[in-house]
Amino acid sequence: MLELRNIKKKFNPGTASETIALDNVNLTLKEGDFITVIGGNGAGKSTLMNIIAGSIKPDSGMVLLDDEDVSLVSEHKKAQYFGRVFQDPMVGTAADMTVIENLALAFGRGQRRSLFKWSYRKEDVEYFTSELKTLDLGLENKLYQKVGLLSGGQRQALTLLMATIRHHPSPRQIKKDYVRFSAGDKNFLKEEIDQAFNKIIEEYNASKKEIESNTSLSKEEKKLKLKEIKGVRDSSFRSYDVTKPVLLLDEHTAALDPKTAEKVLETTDRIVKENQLTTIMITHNMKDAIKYGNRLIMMSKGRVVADIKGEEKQKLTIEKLLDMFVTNSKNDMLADSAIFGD
Amino acid sequence: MQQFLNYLLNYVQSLPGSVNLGIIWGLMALGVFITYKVLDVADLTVDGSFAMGGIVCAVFIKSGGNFAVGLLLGFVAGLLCGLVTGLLHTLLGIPPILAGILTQLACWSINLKIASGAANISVNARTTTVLVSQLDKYNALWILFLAVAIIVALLYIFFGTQLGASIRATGNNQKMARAQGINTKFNIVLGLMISNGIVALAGGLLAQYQGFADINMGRGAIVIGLCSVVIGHAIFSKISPNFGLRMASVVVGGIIYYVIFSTVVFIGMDTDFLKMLAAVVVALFLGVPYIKSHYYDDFKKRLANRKMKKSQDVEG
Repeated sequence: MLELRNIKKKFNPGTASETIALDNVNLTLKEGDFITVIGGNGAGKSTLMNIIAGSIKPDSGMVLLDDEDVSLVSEHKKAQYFGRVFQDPMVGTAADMTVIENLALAFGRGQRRSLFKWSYRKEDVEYFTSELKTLDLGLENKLYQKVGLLSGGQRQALTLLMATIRHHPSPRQIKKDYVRFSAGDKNFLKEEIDQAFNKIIEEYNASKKEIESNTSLSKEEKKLKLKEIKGVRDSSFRSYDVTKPVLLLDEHTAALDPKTAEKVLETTDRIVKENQLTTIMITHNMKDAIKYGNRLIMMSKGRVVADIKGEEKQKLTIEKLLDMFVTNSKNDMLADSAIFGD
Repeated sequence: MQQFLNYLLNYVQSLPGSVNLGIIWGLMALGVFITYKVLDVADLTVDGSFAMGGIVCAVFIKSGGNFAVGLLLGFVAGLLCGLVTGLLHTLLGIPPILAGILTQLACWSINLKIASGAANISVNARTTTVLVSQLDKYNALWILFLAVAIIVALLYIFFGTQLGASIRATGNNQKMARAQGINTKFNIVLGLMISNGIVALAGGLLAQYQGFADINMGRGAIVIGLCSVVIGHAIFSKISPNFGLRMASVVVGGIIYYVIFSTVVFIGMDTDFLKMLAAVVVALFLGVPYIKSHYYDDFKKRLANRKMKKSQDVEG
């Protein structure tokens, strides 16, 4: 779904401080991949992230999103395809706006910012509250508090939520996207998704009839049950959604204390698994790089020097990784072992 | 004694006039507030757009046009000034403060052309219909009050919409705004336009109120605007962070500014010093919090530490 082809990037070209940030990087992500990226300072990890998201344009090379070159598309235009969390907790949120206003801003990602709609509606507040509860940080009680008053951990968790919530596409849009973006014969795909959706609707109608004909239930109970099965129906529609955002995490726990960092990481893992999101996570912590994700990439001096997947990744240990790191970057070994020493 | 009472009476009678001017300049300050506080851009276009609003309005009324249409035309002229500054900044990458100065400079020539080379244009309230005039101060007072209340309410509604919220986010944190799919460049241009539109509207109101528009009427407008914003902030920021109240406090800041100034003039200060006084007031309001946090607080801590050390040394 996301592919990098021959990405090159130099900073300060033609001057004494010229540095090669990325040197011919090639990378292909599959739907649902959770990649952890490690590498020393100046290895090009953050530059890679910024190029994918569009904050920096590459000197040459392409970023392909569903087979379409988006390397020169401006950042805000492709923001709907990415959810970002930055290293600095101050960067991901608007400090002078309330928790709910921040969430509303993120919720509108990829939508036109209308002059004729309030920034958030009553039903949005309900949805945001239920989502905030899953973070388990008590943020659901601070809906109308300014984000600047929150702690770093709370802000990162909020940014994480902001990176993943979005307007759910309509069933019709889901169908369309499914045919458009999935690999395979279009006619077959169309038939497949139609059948799946019809089945969901049939099941919904059947249980709806059952509830309505059930005389032992009161009116309120019926209402509640109907709401419940509606939710089930909508989430089964959504399981066919192929346009989920790619999550880009740039050392998002580096500025937090170890305990908070662990909590934010666990939340990250849960959200990624629940929504089956494709994710790239930069980290300085080798343990986390091994623990999370299904694929690990090591970068050094603007190149991908190791790409470890599947079973090999599961068997990885810190010792092995350190060995690999040393052999791959002999020159800047000293500086980096100081960082990775812990 | 009799003389003093007369003196006092004169002063009280002059107050509605200062409040009226305060509301007009407070409205102008509301425009400055949008750029300076909401968008976090120091926009110096206002000196030019304020005069342009006044001159466009005055020329139109003088040529027999309706006062409301005149105000509207002034507003549109302000929008265009903001548009130019915005495009200079976003399309050509000129820093906003410089872009504002460039537009302001260009406005001078354009204003002169609109005024057909005249340095000022009179609007006679006796022979033409105007919205507000200093000939009827009490009538003007409630009209201005109502007008500003409506504009504050409209702005409050606007900043509560999706578009308005995205403008606030742009001023707050551009990086975050872009990551959330907000077109920050568009929002900066839009914010500058709205700001200068309001500033020009205030210029049109002032031209009607004082009975003339002057090519120099905008000089120092940015300082008066900042003055109102910081006075309003200093007085009201502790009460509530509510956005509507913050905007209202800017207008109140403008009124306080004008009442103080008319008092100073009434007491007998040389009016040549007025602009300097404005600059000093802004410098003081901006500087005092800094002095407090950087010098005074440290000084207090040092004293406390010295005292503590002394008592510990005695115990030890």
